Amino acid sequence: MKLSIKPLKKLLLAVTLAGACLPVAHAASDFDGHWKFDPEMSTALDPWSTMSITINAQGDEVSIVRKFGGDKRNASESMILDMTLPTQVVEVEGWWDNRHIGAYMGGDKQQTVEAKWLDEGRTLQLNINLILETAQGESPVRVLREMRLSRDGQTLRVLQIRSSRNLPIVRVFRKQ
Amino acid sequence: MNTRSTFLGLITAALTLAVALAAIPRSDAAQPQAYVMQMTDNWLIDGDLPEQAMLMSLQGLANRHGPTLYLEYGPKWPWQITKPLRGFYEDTHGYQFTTLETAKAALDALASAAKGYVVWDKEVRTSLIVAFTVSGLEDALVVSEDLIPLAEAAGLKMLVDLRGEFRGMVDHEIYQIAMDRYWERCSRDIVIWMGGHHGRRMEPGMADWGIYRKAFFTDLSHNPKHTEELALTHQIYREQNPQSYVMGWHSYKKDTEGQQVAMTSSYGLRMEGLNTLPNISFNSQIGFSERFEFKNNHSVEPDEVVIPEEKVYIALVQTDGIGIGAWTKPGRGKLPYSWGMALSWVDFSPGVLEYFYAGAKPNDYFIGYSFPSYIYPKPVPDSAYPILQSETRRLMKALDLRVMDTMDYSEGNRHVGNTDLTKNVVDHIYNGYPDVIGFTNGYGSARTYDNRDGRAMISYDYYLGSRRPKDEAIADLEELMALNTKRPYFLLIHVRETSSIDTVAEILDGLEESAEVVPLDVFLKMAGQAKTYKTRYRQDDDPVVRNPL
Repeated sequence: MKLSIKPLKKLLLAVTLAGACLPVAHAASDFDGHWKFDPEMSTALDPWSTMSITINAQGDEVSIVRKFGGDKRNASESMILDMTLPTQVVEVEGWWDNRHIGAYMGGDKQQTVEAKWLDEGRTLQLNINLILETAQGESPVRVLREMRLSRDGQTLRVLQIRSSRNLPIVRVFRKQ
Repeated sequence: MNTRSTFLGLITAALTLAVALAAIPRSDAAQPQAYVMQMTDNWLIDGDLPEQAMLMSLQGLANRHGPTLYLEYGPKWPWQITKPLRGFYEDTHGYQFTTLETAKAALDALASAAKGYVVWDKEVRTSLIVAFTVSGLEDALVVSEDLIPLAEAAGLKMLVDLRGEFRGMVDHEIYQIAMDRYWERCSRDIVIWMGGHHGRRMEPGMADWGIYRKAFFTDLSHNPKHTEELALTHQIYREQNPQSYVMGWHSYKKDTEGQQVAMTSSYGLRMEGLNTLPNISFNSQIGFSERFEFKNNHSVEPDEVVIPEEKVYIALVQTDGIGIGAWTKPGRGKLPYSWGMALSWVDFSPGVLEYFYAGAKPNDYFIGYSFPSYIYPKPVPDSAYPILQSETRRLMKALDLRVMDTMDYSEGNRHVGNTDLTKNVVDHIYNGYPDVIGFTNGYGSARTYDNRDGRAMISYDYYLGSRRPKDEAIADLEELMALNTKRPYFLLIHVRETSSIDTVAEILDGLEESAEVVPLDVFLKMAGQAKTYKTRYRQDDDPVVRNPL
C-alpha cells in the first residue's frame, strides 16, 4: 500500500519531527563557545595552570579544542567529530592530560572516538581509544569523557575516566 | 696614575686592611676569626636592597684579603644553609664569628678594604648591576645616594658617580656603555648574570663573588626577540675564555632558563646558578678540614651484579640544587634519596661540600652530572666534549660519585617539546664516562633509555611537584604502574626540591601495588640486568619547543 500524506499532515509531521529534534539542536548550540577552567571546583590541573575548551557545533559536526597552558607553555588538542558516524578516527596533536607522568601519545597520534549526544542533548559523551607510549612500549587506554551542560547553560562539567587511572577526573568550566 | 703611585697605593691599602683585620677580636692566635652579618628578606630598591647591596660589595672586597665577612640570609632566601653552614664552620674549622649589628659597624670594621665608592641611581635599576662591575674593578663600595654620608663617614671618597648617567636609556644602551668602559679589564674566566627577579626587586647574592673576581655584571637577554641585547650577550660569550664560568641566572623578565643554558652550552661555557647563591667569596677560601675525605654512601660495588625480582622498584632523586629545599627539612634519612651534587663547588666552595658530606645520613646518596656545571648536552659542540668530560671525571672522582644525571631543556621542557638525548649525545656519555655505573635523564619525565654492558640509562618517569595533591600523586604513580605492565618496572621519580621527604613517604605508603624504594645505585644496577624498557633516543620527528618567554 502506498502511503499518502496530505499537505496539512505533512506540515504537522514536519513540525512534530522538528520539535523532537529541538532539545538536541538547542542544547548543542548551548555547548558552543569558549569555556574557562574553574580550578576551585576541579581536580588538580598541575602542571598546567590554565585550561579552556572551545566547542563549535555546526550541523552534524562538532569541533572541540582543549587548550592547556601555564608559564608561557601551551599545548592544544583539536578534534572535529562527525556525529552521524558510530565511530571515527581522529588525529590529535598530543596527549596533554597528565604531563607529570612519562606517557606520550602513541599510535601515530590517532584516537578512535565514539561520540554521541545523550540526556536530550545536554551531555556529549566521547568514548576514546588511544595508545600511550611509555618506557616499556605502547599501551592501549580507554577514556570515557562526558561533557555535561548545566540547566542554565553556564557551566560545563567534564567527567573523565581512564582505564589506566584509579581516580576519576572532574573538571568544571564556566562559559565566557 | 704612574707605576710608583700605583705601588704606593697598593702598599697603603694593604697596610690599612691589615690594621682593620687586626682589629677583629682574637681569643686564640690559632683560631680563625671572621665577621658575620644578618641580611633581611627585604630586597626592594625602596627597602633594604641599597644597604644590603653595599654590604655585599664590602664582603667581596674584604674577602679578597682572606675569609673575613660572612652573610646570613633570611628565612625566605632560596639557599637555606647559611646559618647551619656557619655553625659547621665553627664546629669543624674552629671559626669564631663576631656579629656586626649595623651597616655602620660593618664599615667601621672593614671599609678600608675599599678605595672609595661608586654611586648607583635608584631610578635606574640596571645602574646597580653596572655599579657591581665598577666595584670589582675599582675596589669601590656600592652605595645609593642616601648611603653616601655613611661611606664618607667611613673615610671613603667618591670614585664613580652613575647618578643620572643612564636615565632614559634601555638596557642594551646601558650595557653597551658599560662594555665600552669596563669589559676589557674584566675577568674572562667568570661573568655574572645578575638576573632573577626584576622590577623594583633584586637578589644579588652572587655580587660578592663577582666583585671578588673582577667580573662583568649584566642581565642581558637570551631572547631572540631582543636583538640588540642578544648581540651583546653573544659578544660576551664569544670573548670569554673556553669552558669558563657564566654564574648567576637569567632575568625572569627577559628570557627563560632554557634559552640561557642552551646558549651558554652552545659555547661550551659552564653555567652556575643561582644569582642568589651567597657567600662564595668566603666559602671559596674555606678548605677541607683535617683528615676529611669525600665518602659517598654506595650500596653496591662498581662491578657487582644485582638481579631484580619481578616487582616495581622506585628511586627518588632531587637535582634542583642541594642547598635549596628538602635537605634542611624534616624527614631526611627516612627514605633512600639521591641528591645532585654541584661538582664545581670542589673548586669554589669546598667547605660547603664537606658540610653536605658530613651531614649525610645513610640513606643520602650523592650523584654527579654529565658535565662539571649546568650544561645541556645537545647544544655542546662535539669539540668541547673532551675537555668538559675530562673535568667532569676529575670532579666525579674527587667527590666519590658513580652515578650521573643528565638534563637537556634546549628543545623543550616538562610540558611541551622534548627533553631527550640524541644517540650522538648518549654515545658521548657512555664513551666519556666508563667508570659511571648508570645514568639518569630528564627533569620532568623524559624517554631516553639505553643499556650498554649492564650500565643502564633511565629517564625520569615521574615529576613530583610540590603542589601535587597527595591523592593525585598516588593515582599518577599507580597509573604508571598500570601502563608499564612488565615486572620489574623501574620507576624513577624526580622530586621537586620544595617537596618534603615526609610528604614523599606518605605518597609512597598510599600505593596499592607493592613497590620497593631502593638506593639509586642499586636501582640502576638492577635496571642494567633486566631491560624491561625500550631503547629510545630523541627521534627526528620529536617536537621541538625552544622555551620562549
